Amino acid sequence: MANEWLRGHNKTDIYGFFSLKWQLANDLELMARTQINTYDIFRSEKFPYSGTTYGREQAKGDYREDKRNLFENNTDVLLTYNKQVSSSFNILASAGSQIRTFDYNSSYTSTDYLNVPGLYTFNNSLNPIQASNFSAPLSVYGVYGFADIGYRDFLNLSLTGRWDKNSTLPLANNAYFYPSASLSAVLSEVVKMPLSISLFKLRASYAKVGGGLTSTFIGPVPATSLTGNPLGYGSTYQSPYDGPSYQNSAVYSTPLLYNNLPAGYYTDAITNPNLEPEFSSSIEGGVEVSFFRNRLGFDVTYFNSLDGPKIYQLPLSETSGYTTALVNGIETRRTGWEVTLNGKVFDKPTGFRWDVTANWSTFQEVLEEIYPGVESLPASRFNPSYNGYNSYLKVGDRVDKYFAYAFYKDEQGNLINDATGKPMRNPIPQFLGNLNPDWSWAFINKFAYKNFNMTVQVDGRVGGYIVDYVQRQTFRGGRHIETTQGDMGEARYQDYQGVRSYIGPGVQITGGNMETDPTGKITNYDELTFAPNSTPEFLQDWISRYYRDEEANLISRTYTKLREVTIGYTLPNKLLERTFINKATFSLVGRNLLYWAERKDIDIDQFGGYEGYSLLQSPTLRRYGFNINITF
Amino acid sequence: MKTAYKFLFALALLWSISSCTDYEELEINENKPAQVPASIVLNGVLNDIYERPWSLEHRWNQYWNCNYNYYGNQEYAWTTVTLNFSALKNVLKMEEEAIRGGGKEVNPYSALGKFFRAYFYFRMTRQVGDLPLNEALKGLENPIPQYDSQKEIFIQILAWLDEANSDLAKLIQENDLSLTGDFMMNNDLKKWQKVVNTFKLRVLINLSKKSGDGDLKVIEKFTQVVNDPSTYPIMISRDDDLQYLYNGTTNIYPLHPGNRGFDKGRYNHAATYLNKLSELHDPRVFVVANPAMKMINEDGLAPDDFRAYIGASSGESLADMTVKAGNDEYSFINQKRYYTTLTGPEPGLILGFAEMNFNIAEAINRGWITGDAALHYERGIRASMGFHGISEGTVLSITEPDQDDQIGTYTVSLEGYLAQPDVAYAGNNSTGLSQILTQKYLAFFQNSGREAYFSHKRTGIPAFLTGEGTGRNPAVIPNRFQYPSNESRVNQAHYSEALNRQYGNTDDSIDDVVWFLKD
Repeated sequence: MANEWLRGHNKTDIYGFFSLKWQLANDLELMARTQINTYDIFRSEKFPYSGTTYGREQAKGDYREDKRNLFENNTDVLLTYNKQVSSSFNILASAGSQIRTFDYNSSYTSTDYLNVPGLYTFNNSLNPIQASNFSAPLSVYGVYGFADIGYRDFLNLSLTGRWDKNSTLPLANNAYFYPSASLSAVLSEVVKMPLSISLFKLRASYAKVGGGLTSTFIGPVPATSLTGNPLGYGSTYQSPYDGPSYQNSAVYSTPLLYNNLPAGYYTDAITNPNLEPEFSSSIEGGVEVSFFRNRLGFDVTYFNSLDGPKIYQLPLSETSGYTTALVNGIETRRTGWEVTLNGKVFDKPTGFRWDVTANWSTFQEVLEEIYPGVESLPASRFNPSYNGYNSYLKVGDRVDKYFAYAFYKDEQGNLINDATGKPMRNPIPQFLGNLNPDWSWAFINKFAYKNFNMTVQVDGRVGGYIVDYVQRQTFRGGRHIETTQGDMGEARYQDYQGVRSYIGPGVQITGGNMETDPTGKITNYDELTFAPNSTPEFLQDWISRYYRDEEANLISRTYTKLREVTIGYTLPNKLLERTFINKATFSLVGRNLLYWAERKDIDIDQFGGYEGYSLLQSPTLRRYGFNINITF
Repeated sequence: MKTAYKFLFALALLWSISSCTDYEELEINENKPAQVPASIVLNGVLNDIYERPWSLEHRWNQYWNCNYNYYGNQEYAWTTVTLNFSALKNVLKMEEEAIRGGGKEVNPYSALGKFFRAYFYFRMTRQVGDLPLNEALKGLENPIPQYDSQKEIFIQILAWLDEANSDLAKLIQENDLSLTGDFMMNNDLKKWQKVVNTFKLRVLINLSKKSGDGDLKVIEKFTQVVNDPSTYPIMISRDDDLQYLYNGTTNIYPLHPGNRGFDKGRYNHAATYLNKLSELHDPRVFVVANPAMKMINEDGLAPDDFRAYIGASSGESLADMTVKAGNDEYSFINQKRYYTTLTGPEPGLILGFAEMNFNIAEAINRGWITGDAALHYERGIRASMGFHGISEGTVLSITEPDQDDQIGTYTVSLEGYLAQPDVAYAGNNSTGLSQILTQKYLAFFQNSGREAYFSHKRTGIPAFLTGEGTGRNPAVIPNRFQYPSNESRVNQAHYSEALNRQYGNTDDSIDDVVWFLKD
């Protein structure tokens, strides 16, 4: 298959930059600059005859081309005033204007099966060619200004302000303003500190950003959504975009249906001509201290950012004919801490040196507001879970709360099995835990002795949950190694013989009828009697029931990784003195060397977001390298 | 100073480029249309009324079973159901586009629009109960519509069908040819008029438990249609069937050579359907099923022996069914007939001539109208046989499921079939009614959406099999679906009010009985 099912990927990037400066006066400068940023992507797929995937069961091959073209130009005119007012005061102020011109064009073409196997051309399509194209121009006009004011080495104040007019937003509200400010003070410059403190710095900042109705990434020509998949299988390649999302357009979708003719479906989302831009703002404060002539450093940062009000699809009663209305709503607040500690444990310029850097960080994101009159929000907005359950977040909840299928249990926490000896799923999704890790950490050691040096980086995350999709599917497909071992291995053989033999863990109800409340909690434990499960079942049927549900596949996100080890040697200068070489370094590099976690069938490191399911991943590679670095 | 001029010139150039920008134009999504011809919207609506064969619904109709629990089961663990308000909105848009495109106030799209409204409301209300009607489909003008009673909905459905019929009559008389984009009836308004009235008979027969209702006037309306074919033309042959044809290229039959390899062992026939065919010595058995090969190979039955055609009880535990299907103790879906072409052996039938005849026979049996029930009963059977390619004297090839090798033949005697005591119409009594309903059920095989389920719920015929395989504790067939879960959040007051009014609580239970099924 790997020889035949071929995908091509060609990308050409062109960047260009041009600027003009005119010194109007001593302290005054006028500058004009323009830059372009473009890419051109060509992706092809040769899908061979006899190959099948979901939706392509006829196995007659296909050829596809995905072409994307992005052009972006930013042109600025900027007037800058830079003045050393006095020996201790310095002012830098600028005012300018910017135009961002953006254009994106793409096309996606595919055969609908082939006539001649192995001939990958469009005119070899068995059925009518499937082709679509997409065009998205955009323009942003901005006016901005900033000022930096410095007072000696002690105080630094920066202020910015920007006014944008953005073509993605409705005409009435397409202009908006957003400012930022930051202040830093090196207290050790003005306050007498104990000798051991070599630096004491405080900093604080505020920033706000506006925008809206753009998308960061784009897939092949959008079928349903910008990042949608025109095929029924696989994942799509997402390229950088930052162009219009067209969420606010009242249009028909016209998929080709019967006889390859377009069928018109009017949008289910009500558009909003009074939509306002979305904003996010953040404040940050920190302290940086170093001791003993910078041998020990300490940096603490606190941040608190408010994301919103966003542009939000407000759920409507579908009986209105529409399922959502586009409004401004939803605010989430992310708060967190970051601590960095660095120290020079040994510091002899010619002898042994050991630098240590340790990082620790944590954050939480909480839903702060939704929309007037709306008390809860589908959790899937934040953690796109594989099965899309009806679970909801309320104001004040963490956005990474994970709700999914769990099992009924007795008061001791044993699984309750049904009459067939299989665990009973609670039909109401239950809260299984928070997805986001509690904290993450990193520990970087740098050693050096004479011409040798070594770097060791260990890092990891602690806490949080994820559903191990690989475990789920390998069990359900009968391909998990554990199905061949121990009790399961024996039962698997019995399955083959047609004998029900597997007795799953937990209990069965021997008396009383289970009653539950609307949240799925059992309300009448006192009326129920239990006995250990005694009904044998086919192993594969038990597995299909048990491992189907998220609770059975939930694992901790805690892991530790030996991320990188580098060992290097620098040739002594003496050897190079008479050569044209200035410096020569040789080093061995190993990445992803060791990994510790509860289960190792997936690399949790790859799942840094709020995903509830791991889905399929490309295995992380352990990599070794040898670097030669020569400077002339 | 020269430099300065150049500089200023460059600036002026840049700004002149930017001033051309039209922000209003840029906001518009050029990739999708804001307006389309009504015919394009019609295409979408027609795709939405399509009811596909071999769906999960047909497992709940107890026509077939999935024996492989990785791929599915036949449990009735119903929760919410997909409603069709989005499709109804498209119907509204279609009418709007027709007017925008120069259509008169009464045009083919507006006439069909009334039928589609009736069609979708009928589909929805039977599944859940009350629904917003008068306040529905108004977008932000009324984001929280109030629910109307199912009775009001049925009154409106019948009114829409009346209006659709008279509008179509008017257009036919004017020889209006403005309908395009209709891939189901080929833009033939006369055929649509027959569909409208035939559908009305379906609606009315579904209201058999409410036949005494003075507002619905079920019997009166049924009589009106049957007795006045010039005002209310109905289907006169299978050529009038409302159906979805598979062209084999862009629209392929759900079962085809591509999925045979995956599906073959996973799906087998269900006892409620297949065992009834076997019991009645029905030739359709040879068309829809392969024999259970164990009966042929081990028990020595001849391939044309009806006892070799066995479906699994939908109530059987999946584990048992898997083993038995694996041992060839059950009949698989006729592999040769259903899996070897892209066009499929049968269209996707939505509303058919066979059903219409059974509906008329049922009405006669119930004493709603006078007429020859036996005639319509037999016509219905013949139409269903015809749908499966069976007529008098047809020689059916019997194949085994692995290689499609012919292992026997069966020569059809329709007259012989109809003359059997169990099949010959027993008269306008309860036995006769049961025969009509049984044959109607047999004719609904893999077509007409959930009609078979609703017919069972309304009349108890045929009895559905339950057990571990159908799930639920106790193992009973549910009566309805839950409302979309979103309703309890975004339209809470009206949703609770509707549930209380109908069922006396807000449990939204699938065991509650919907009004039209209440005695």
